[in-house]
Amino acid sequence: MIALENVYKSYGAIKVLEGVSLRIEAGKSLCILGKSGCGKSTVLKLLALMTRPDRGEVLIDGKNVVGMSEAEIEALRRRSIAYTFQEPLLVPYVTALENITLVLGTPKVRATDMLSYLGLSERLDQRPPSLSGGEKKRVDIARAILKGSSILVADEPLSNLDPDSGSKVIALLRKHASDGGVLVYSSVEPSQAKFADEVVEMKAS
Amino acid sequence: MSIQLARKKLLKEPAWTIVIVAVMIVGLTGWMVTPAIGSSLRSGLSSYANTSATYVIIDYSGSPQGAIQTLPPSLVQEISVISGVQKAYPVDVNYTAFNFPNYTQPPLPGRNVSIKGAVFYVASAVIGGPYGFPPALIGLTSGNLPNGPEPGFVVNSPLLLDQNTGKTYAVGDNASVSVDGVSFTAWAVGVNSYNPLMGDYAQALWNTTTLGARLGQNLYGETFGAGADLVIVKVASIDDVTGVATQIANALQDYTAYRVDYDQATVNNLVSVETGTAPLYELIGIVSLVSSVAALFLVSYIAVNRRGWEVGLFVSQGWTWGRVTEFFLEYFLFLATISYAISVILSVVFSQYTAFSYQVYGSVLRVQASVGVSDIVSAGLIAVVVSAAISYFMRWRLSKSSLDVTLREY
Repeated sequence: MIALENVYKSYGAIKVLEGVSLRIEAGKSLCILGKSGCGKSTVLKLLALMTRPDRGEVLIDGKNVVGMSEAEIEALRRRSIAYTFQEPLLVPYVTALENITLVLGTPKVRATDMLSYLGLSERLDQRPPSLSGGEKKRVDIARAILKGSSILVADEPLSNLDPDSGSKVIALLRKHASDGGVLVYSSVEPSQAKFADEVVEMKAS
Repeated sequence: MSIQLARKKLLKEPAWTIVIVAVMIVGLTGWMVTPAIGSSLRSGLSSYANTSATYVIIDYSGSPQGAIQTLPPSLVQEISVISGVQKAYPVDVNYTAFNFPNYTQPPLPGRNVSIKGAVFYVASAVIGGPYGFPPALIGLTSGNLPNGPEPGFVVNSPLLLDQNTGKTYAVGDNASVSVDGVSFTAWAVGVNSYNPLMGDYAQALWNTTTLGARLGQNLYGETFGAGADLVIVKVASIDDVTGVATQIANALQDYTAYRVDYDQATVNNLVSVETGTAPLYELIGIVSLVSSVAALFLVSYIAVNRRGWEVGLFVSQGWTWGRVTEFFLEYFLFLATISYAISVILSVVFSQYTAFSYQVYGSVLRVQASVGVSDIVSAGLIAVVVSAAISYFMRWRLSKSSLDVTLREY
């Protein structure tokens, strides 16, 4: 279970979140829907323990993590959370395959299988500068899934993907939830909310 | 895994690799070469000074004609107890005539007549005995000491020339000589290592048996045992030479025909190196290292900071900060190893072409700079320490920001 309770977050003078609460149980998926700039990514970063709220609680398995030390949060994040970026973030000087094997330590066979499933069997040895935006996105998602964490937080995982790749990604994400994990993803497209068990719509105030 | 990433980062980002390696090379080479020059100068000059220049010579400078006022044993004793004096060797120097009947002397100015035949008088002494040249100061570079009654002599100076060839006598060369009017054929049996301070005052060294037999004991005693007209004073340290020379000069006030001689040039050079040159080179080495380390930190900071998100990515994918440090350590140690290897080669090559010449007594001393094992080892340690310091600094700097902030730089 992962939840936000009455969370506030500002960046300088800009108030991004005011009193946001949400809750996702294990084995469920949640889509956060909203236009750009409404605070979706901030909610995801709070859930992925990449930043702390100014006020409110972030609960993981019922335990409020806001009071934890940085080391405890890092350990929890390392153990339980995988994250995919809105703009795919890959190490530029290693290949697509090595972005998984060298960064995560995943066996080469597993990483190859996953990337091949996502249609990248011909691009395994390419470095990120020579991959398209959609290809990078798929490598980033493959890496997050292979991390094997119980909570998967994905920032707009379907953007930049062609329909075929998108459906494969959706299948992988849904499988993560159906295997007992927690899936939270964001989207600007209402049509992409249908894959989630629950939907939260955010609006900029 | 991180070691493979570090290696790939190094290979796939050649521009940064070259910049960081270049800065490291400058620092490490500077660290090895400049103090090496200073210590080579110091040790080269000290070595020369302590073996060759720690002597003060008391030499008769009056006319060789007539009776020479020899120095009494009491005065030699007085000199030997001067503070800083290790030992005083009294020597009775006499002259050996080297005859060259076939040598043609060049015409005198304004005359058109050449003279055939020449006699060269060479300062000489016997080896050992009460007033002989001290055997302790003989270190043969070739040949051996004369045996028994063998009419052999030791060449004690390169100025002892065979006028027929114009070359210094070498082992086996014959010479027609006469000592106190007693003529005989002799040959060079050994060559002593040259010390201009004392070699030129007794260029040919005889054995006592030869001359005793040739001259007869009475004449031999009058010629080579009459008293000291040369005293070789061994001084304990080069630092004491000037002071000892001054005190000896004071003790010789009643012996105006004698002069005190020592290697002033070497003393001056050594003082100059010890007080100025060597510390300056060491300082340059330290400044070079410090400025390179500072530059290295700056370059590394820029290189890492421009991709701070890279570390954010690793941490977001589950890396601990310890593993991040390990990654930096491996990356900078790779760079340091390359830089160190190149620096050692450059330093050794550079030092081969770095030599200094010093004017010393009667000669020029050439001191070759050489990079020592301690310089090489210390540079290696510095490379490791600096790599570790940069790695920990980068980890510290990046871990201060939240992951959100680190990733926002992407």
